[in-house]
Amino acid sequence: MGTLKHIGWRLANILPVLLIVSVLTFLIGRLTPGDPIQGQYARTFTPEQIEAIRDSYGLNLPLWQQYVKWVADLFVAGGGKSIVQDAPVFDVLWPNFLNTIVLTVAGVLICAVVGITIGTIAGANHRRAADRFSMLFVQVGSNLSVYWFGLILIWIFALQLKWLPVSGMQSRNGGGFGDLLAHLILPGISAALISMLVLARFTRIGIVQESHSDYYKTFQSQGAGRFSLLGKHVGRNILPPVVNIIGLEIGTLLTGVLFVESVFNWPGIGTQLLNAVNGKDYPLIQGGVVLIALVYLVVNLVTDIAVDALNPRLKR
Amino acid sequence: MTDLDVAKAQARAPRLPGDRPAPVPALEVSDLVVEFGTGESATRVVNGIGFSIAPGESFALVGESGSGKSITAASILGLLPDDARIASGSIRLGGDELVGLGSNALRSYRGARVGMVFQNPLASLDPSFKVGNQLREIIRIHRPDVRRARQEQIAREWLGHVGIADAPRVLAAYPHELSGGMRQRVMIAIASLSQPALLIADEPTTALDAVIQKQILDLLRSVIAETGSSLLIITHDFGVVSYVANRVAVMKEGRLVEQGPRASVLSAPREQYTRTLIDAVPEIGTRFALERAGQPRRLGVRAGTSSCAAPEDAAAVAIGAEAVSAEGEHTASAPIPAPPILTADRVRKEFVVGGIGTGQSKRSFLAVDEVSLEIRRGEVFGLIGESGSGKSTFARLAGGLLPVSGGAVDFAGAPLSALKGRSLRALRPRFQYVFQDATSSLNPRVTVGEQIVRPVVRFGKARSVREGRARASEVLDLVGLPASYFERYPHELSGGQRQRIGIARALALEPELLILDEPTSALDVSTQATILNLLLDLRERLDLTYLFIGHNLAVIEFVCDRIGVLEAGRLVDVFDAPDLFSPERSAVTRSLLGAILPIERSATTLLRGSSADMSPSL
Amino acid sequence: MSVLQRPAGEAVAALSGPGREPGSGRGRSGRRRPRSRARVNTQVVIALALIAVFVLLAVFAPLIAPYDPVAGDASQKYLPVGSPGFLLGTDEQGRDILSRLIWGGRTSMLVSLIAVVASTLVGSALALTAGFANDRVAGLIMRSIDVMFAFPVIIAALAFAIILGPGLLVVVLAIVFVATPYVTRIVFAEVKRHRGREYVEAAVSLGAGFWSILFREVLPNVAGHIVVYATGLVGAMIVFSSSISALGIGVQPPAADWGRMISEGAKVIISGNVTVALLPGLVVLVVALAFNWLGDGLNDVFDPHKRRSRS
Repeated sequence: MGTLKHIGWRLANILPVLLIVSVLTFLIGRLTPGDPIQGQYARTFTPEQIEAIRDSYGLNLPLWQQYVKWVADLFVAGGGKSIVQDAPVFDVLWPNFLNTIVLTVAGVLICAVVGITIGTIAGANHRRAADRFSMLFVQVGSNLSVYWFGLILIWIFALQLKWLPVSGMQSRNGGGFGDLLAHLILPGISAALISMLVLARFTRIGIVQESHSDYYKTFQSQGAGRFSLLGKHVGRNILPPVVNIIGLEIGTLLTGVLFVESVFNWPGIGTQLLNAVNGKDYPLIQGGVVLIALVYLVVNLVTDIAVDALNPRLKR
Repeated sequence: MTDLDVAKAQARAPRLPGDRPAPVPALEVSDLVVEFGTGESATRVVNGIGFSIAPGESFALVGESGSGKSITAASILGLLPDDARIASGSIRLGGDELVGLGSNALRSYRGARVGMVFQNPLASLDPSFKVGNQLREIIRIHRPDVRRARQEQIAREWLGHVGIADAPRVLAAYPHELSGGMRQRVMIAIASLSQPALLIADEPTTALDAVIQKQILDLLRSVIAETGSSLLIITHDFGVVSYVANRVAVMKEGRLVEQGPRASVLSAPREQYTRTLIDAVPEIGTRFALERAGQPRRLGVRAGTSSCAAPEDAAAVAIGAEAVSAEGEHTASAPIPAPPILTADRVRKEFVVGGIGTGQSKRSFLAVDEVSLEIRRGEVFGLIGESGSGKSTFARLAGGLLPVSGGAVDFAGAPLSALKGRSLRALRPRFQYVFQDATSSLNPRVTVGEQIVRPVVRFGKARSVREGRARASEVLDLVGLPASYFERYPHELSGGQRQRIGIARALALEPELLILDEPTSALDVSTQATILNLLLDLRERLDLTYLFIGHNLAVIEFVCDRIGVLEAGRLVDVFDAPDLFSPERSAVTRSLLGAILPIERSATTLLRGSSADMSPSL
Repeated sequence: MSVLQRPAGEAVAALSGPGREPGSGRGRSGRRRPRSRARVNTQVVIALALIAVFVLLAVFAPLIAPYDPVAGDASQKYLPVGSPGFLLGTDEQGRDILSRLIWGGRTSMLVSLIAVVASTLVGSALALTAGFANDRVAGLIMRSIDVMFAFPVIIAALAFAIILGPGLLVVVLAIVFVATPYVTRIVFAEVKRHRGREYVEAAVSLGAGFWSILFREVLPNVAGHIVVYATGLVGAMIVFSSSISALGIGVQPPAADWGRMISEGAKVIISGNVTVALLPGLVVLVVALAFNWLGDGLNDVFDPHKRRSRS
């Protein structure tokens, strides 16, 4: 099967998922008790005017028409109008969404580098002290609440040691890339923590399994050095599963980021959505869900394609 | 004298008369002890063995699973599993002591002076790199000075040496694109390209089909002849020993039972254990030799008779084919054709893989292709084929475990392949299935007794659980297990015992037909012999019909009355067992026959087995 | 959000297929390194003891807790750990932290336990159905699970909070939403693995019907795995529930809950009082670890190869 056809096939597989996610998202806004328009405008407008506003939001149409209109709005009207801010949803979300992406990318990098490092140290020293210690660290770390972990990091590194800023994305007086990096470290580590431990476990297991494989014995019996065995053969063979895990973990990491944002006051989409919940701003919530789900699906798609590309059995 | 002393004495035993006096041995192992674990919990898996291999000699280390033979091989280059270690002893390679060397020092011996070929060619090459890349890497290790173009050239030359004609294609291929035999050839090229003094082959053909096995063994012989290497071959198969080894050592539970020149160990073993192992191997013609000697058709009984008459007869039959079939006296004892119990009429089975939701394109694969055959009541019908020939798929179709894609299977007049649900289930107790892998065919969480009782009660063969238990004890007794095994879990039994449970469970339903899907291929030779004997006993006592699936022609010929040969899903040959050597046999049958490695049981037949070509087609 | 990830990894581990146990070469099957049973047992005993202590404290909270968990004394705020009468100090409203921890365990553990049991039942049922249904039904179920993975958990939790109003039910539903897909994937992988084993084919050949195969053959083989996984999940979900509560959509003040306590501690951490947030987080960690260890230990208990017959 050709590569393009393969990618097309993967794309086709995503569509039903997207459809169901969108229906669910749409229903969130419609199943909720209480009327957002009523709450927002009741004091200043007459009932007739409120009806007119409801019409303008399409709230008086049959459900399926509302859904079609909602989907259409996603493409042509920037996701519809935010009730609270009176602007297209995507215009409101976009800057914060980018901030969230920045934090997520930082988290993914930390996750990949630290996770693979821990896993490699543990796997290459299977059953020795370094392995046991790493795995203890992984087990304890996996049971930390991200929210709490972020707090403790703030307390140690920002409040006690004063090495890093407490919260936010940049210092009050602005600041350049270095400033952004300083602000990224603690939330990045918090967001990456659990995923990187998962990755570490996988890397370790992968190395241990591959080191017991027959081909490893073949090259060992021919006098290949440990460095070339681990670096070339084991490394190449665990690459597809490691890439796969990183891809899967980006999805979970993204969700973790939404929590971390609230700890570090990061001006991301998570903070915005929490506010939107309090303000019952459904279009905004729905737009946010669609954005996050899209990111998740795109990451999955790219991961699948990458893993396929790394699999020699699928070549030619 | 302790075993250790025996081993020492054997290590010092005089060499073959023809040997030149005292050259430095290629490999000399003495008093080797290998342990798993440390301290009090340590278990000895190799317990003070010693042997030596002269330059150019082929030495076979033979034993059943768990005897420690593979661990011995792995210990030579320090390739033991993590938790095993050499506790004491010495391993000298061309005079250099290897025990006690650090891994860096050992590395300079690996590949350069000892090459290894492993059991599973499908996993022995790195799946992620092209064959050429892997060969070049290994050439680079041994000859860091040569340029890439020269590496490429050496790789091609060596592929030529191991009989690969289209080297460019193989070098550019990933391992998964090559067949198992091809990959084992590449492995042999890898192991021998630095022309090591010693080549170690650990069960090099166990995972291969018989025809490929013989080719690979031929290749090993020619490679060591060319490079002048010595060969240490680890095997469980006395046929392989017979075919390649000059000298043999028999291993059991970490100790050497006996060692010596091939001819004397095989034809006149000094130890009872060796004799039992050899006698447990069924060979082509054994059954007729036994018949003529007026003995029951059972394996291992030769041990009780005078050691030369029957075996020589057997060997004669194996090689002088016409002697048996031309006499035609066996047709007299052939059963009068009985009514068929199972009929397959143009049975097809197509597997479809991939399709929507799997991320793969849809492909189909014809596993069984228009097979028609008839199994007569009371006979043992053997179905033989290489891996992938569709024999197990056919067995499952015959056993109603898979739906047919076309054609029909009838059981005792009932349209088996058309039945479903309740009516199919009602028929099931009349034909039963015994699986190849007894470990996986028993439910690990349920006691073996419970596993026998459940179906008995389900089909009303017992009115109560108590009656069911009585029935279970009966069948346990039938397969030679004490009733106390009722409460055991499968993992508490040995492989042979598990297979007995599998048979007992099937017999408890009082079936008319047993479908035996390679019932002994996962077992050691001695266990295989007891299971085959048991099956032959049971057939006589209970008046059963067998459909016996197998890949080993000698086993099939020993057990079966009629034989069908499958190739790529098609039935290419069906014949009565005595007609195996008839010139009407198909090319497939003849190539299977030609791939047989008979055990040379006496000095006079030493050369005939390896040189005589029994198959005109090869 | 701690949680998600941990089962995620294991889910993939299970999905990546059974099989290759490192170091178990063919040549020495059955001679695995004896893992010291003593160590395993100690681990289980410690884990059980810890869990028992916390469960007992929670059950008998009214008898054990020295103070009212919601009523504070403004003159006693920010007492440090070890203050006389206040073993673990007090918070910003002068409430006894120890008492709040004891009472908070009631909600945190109960909520997680109920939610994990619910998601284990739902997930296992889905997985068994998918494992024994035809490809189309299985595909439908597993695709729906993919959708749940693609749907941001935090949004689901927020949606529940919007629809139902903040409260314990929101936390329970959020956990069920998070945990069910993982349980389903893991159990499905396990069911599929066993379905392909020959003993299931043997059962067919021996005349067993669909339900008999499902409940008498396969379920006993996967039940241990499910229990082990669910046990570890309880720990993970206690951590998760604390994060959800910390967002303010779970238990409402002034009621105590470990997650709530962390988020209230978060507000005062800037003024240098770390213990208010630190202590509940540590308790969550210890309890979660205990459930982890218990799960690991049970894994060995359920290993059929360590089960011996009575004879």
